[in-house]
Amino acid sequence: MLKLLRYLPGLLFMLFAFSACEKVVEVDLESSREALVIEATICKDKSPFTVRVSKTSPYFGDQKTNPVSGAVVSGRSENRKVRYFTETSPGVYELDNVAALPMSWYILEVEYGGITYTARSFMNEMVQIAEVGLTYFDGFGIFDSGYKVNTSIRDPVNHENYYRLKYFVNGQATNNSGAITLYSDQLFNGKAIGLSQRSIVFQKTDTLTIELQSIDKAAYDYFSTLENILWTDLQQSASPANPISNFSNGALGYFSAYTFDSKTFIIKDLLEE
Amino acid sequence: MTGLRLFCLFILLIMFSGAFSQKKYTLSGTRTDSDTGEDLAGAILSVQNTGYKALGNAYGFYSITLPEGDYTLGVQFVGYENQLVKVNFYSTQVINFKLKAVRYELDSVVVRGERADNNVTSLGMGSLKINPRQIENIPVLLGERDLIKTLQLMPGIKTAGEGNTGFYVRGGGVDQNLILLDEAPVYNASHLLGFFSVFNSEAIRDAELLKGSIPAEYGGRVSSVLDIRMKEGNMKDFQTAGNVGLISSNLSFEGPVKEDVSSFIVSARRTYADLFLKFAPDKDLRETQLYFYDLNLKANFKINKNNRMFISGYLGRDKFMIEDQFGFDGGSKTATIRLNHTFSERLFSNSSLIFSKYSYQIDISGDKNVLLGSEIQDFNIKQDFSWYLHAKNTLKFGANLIGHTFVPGQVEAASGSAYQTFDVRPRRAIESALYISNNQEISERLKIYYGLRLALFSNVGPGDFYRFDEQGNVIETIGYDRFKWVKTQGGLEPRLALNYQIGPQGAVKASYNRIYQFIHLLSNSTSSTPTDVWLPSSDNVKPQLCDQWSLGYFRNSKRNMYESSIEVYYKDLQNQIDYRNGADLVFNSTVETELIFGRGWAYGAEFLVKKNEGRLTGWLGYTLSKTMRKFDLVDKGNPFPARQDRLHDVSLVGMYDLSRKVKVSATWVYNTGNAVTFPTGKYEIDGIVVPYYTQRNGYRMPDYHRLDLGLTWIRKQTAQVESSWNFSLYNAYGRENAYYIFFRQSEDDPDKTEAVQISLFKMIPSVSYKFKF
Repeated sequence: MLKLLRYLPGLLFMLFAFSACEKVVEVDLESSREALVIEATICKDKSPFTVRVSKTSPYFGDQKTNPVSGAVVSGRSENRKVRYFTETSPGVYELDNVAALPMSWYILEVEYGGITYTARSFMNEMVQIAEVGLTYFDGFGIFDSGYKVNTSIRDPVNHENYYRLKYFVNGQATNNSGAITLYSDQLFNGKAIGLSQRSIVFQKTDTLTIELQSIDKAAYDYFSTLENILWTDLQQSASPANPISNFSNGALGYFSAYTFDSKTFIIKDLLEE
Repeated sequence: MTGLRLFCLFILLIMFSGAFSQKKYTLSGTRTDSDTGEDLAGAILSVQNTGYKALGNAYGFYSITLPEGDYTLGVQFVGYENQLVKVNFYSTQVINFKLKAVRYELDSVVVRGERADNNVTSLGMGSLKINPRQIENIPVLLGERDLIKTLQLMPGIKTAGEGNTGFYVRGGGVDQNLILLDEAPVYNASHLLGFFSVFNSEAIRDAELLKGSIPAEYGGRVSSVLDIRMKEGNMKDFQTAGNVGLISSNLSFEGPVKEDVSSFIVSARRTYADLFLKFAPDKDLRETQLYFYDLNLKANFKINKNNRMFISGYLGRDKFMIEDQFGFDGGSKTATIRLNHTFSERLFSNSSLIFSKYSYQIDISGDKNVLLGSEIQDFNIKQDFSWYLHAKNTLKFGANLIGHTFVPGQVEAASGSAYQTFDVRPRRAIESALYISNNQEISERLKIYYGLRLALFSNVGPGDFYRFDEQGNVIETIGYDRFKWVKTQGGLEPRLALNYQIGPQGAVKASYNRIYQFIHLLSNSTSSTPTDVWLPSSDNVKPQLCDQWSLGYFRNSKRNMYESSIEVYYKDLQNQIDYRNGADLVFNSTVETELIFGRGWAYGAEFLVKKNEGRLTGWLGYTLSKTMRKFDLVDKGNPFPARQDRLHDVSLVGMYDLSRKVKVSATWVYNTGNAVTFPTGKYEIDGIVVPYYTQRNGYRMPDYHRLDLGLTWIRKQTAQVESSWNFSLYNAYGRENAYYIFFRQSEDDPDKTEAVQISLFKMIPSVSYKFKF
């Protein structure tokens, strides 16, 4: 929530917007040694569990991804049997027909090139979307007009909770200049609260899916440090760095075991209710 | 041990300097402007046909001890008529000089506020003095004159960014500059993200920036001191002055309370972009608030011959509010009460009581439901003595005690709000200092300055103090009671300087300083923001420590028409602060765990050629420098260039009087781009392309250069009445300088990535009108 502070400079800069200009420029970047990237998720109600293994590629290169085949990927719940993932397409490893239960630790291992990369993640209990509210926003300066969504939840007591909200319009994930909507319950532990987001607006005919992910601290830290370098606001970090990964041995990426609740509706219908 | 030895040496030097015997008396007094009664700090008194000179202090007071005899005394101050007085000097005397300002002279552009050859004869090196008169004709951004922006045109001083009033001095950080307004430290010297400084130039008498030799009376910031003094107010007549600009206007009113005894000045400035919003068709726009204002007040009273009191205050705020969206309200307050007392014709005292506060509040939803706030507040007592021991020695000593309160963050939730009220506990500390120094003339050619400052910083209760393990987890929280002393850090700071004259027009100067800094500004973004937090030193945060050596050659030519200098410096910085990846710096009660510590060093050479007289005046400055940092936790401990590392930095300033009424000016700046971190690779997470970083500050922004043009048209100028227009064109050839560069997936083709450059301020014209009556 405190990330909201970042909006301050953005808004102030509107003052100078009349004179600011943006253009694509040529920058000469060196290429670095390749690093391994792992994106692994285990989710209570999503199947199969998916792990993507890839490598970094030159920044201005043509490849969007650089998949890694032949890695050995395994996962287990604490004190339980190890399960192996199967590579279904290059760099994509899947595990089917396994149930994951909340309130326990999961361990994921990727073995590649003689090195084992390990990460742990705690699956929090599911927190339900209690209510969804809409408010109309008139638009302001560079901000578009439309409906803003307010997602109400009741935060569980006696436990640190972390949330990530994802919005899908007509099935497509929204990409709002790299903003990732994250909340920690530091300021509202145990209370009923409306989680609002500021910068995305939706239109009457949009079919909107809201996915409320209940994630652990490591995933929260990963996404919030990821957002630091994706956010293309006028205020930039003076020392951009790679997001904090929960994998060992210097792998990039994250492992998140999470639960989620989601709601799908057409804006128009919700307005009529 | 070193400290003790230094102290002995110090005492010895002072004793030596007192060893002579001749019948001598002391001459003392003040020097003021005959029209306004204002003090002329820094005016020079010289005893004709002898080598004796008295410089005086910042309050206009001077004192000199001379053998008995008949003398002719001369007083000079640039911009004023020289004055000669004959005295029969056979007893202790007080003479107060009143100088008459020179006006309407074609070539009276004042490019210095001091004696013509001060840069060569003074002990100070790396010191720059400016007054608002001097910056009047320099082109400016949006019609706002700003003394900090003028200082940034001098060698060794670099702007923190396009149009920004934050500055780096000789490789130091923005928070390493001690900015004083009438002795009160100003913790956030900028408005609107740094585009404007809080110093309304209509309210400022003069400003001095010390970057090399820093005298022992100053301490607490390792890189520089910017000492700003407000105008004191006209002792004779009432006067109104103002300036109407494109985005703001200011108005000052000054005059005597009782002629020649007391005076006051009130000066106010406000921006008015939001006033135009009132006419907007859109309701949200109409209800949007966006402004800043400054209010400066000062009054002074001559209580009697030996006592004088000054009261000054500053109040400034930035306010920004979009109804039901977002609100920000923050600013500084300072207040100073000063008493000057003349104990005798040789002993002068200044006692100050100072208050300073910076605070802000953010309304995250624009409906006053949840307010986030933070503040820093100081109470400061200061006692300084100047003791004019005899003609060749000026002793200064004093003490300073500052009580700091830091409130890193608090959240106030309205009752019924879903959020809960939450506090990061305030931290308290006492910063104390004792100092003594002597300015000594060893021979006609050699002058030395030696001083010692004891600087200490103590954390005191009430408050929570933490112990952390290596991973930054709290292993122990210790609560301390009120007035309980927790930890004291600090040490002795030697300050040395020497000046050796080579011929009448040249001098070699050298200096060494050691300075501790106990409070640190936490800021991890490319632009300064009002939400940056000050953090005190503690068990977990060691004080920053800087040692600086500098050496310079100064030479004037053509009877001080030209000034030139070369200065070299080396700076060693210990306990520098950087941040862990993803550091959460605001509203964090254990913010220490987000910090990493390392060292830094900076070295460079500064060249300056300045023309002070004639129809064409101005200067050319060039700095060649290197600024490095080294942190064990950044890039495996390899040294990397600091963001402000710029190899070349050039500034050229020219002012030309076309006629008595029309003056034109131009400035051109060029510098190597800042060091910056760019990605070397990419990968995909969650369908988004993510940049991959491997080396801190491994790249450079494009070189920066810009030309500004200005024209001043004086319609009327007399001692009492003035009216003039100023036209400026900022970035005259429309160079698109990179404000920043970011990397993203191409909007047209998400499979491609691109670098995007944002530039601000391409050819900004402005006009302002200035008046006085």
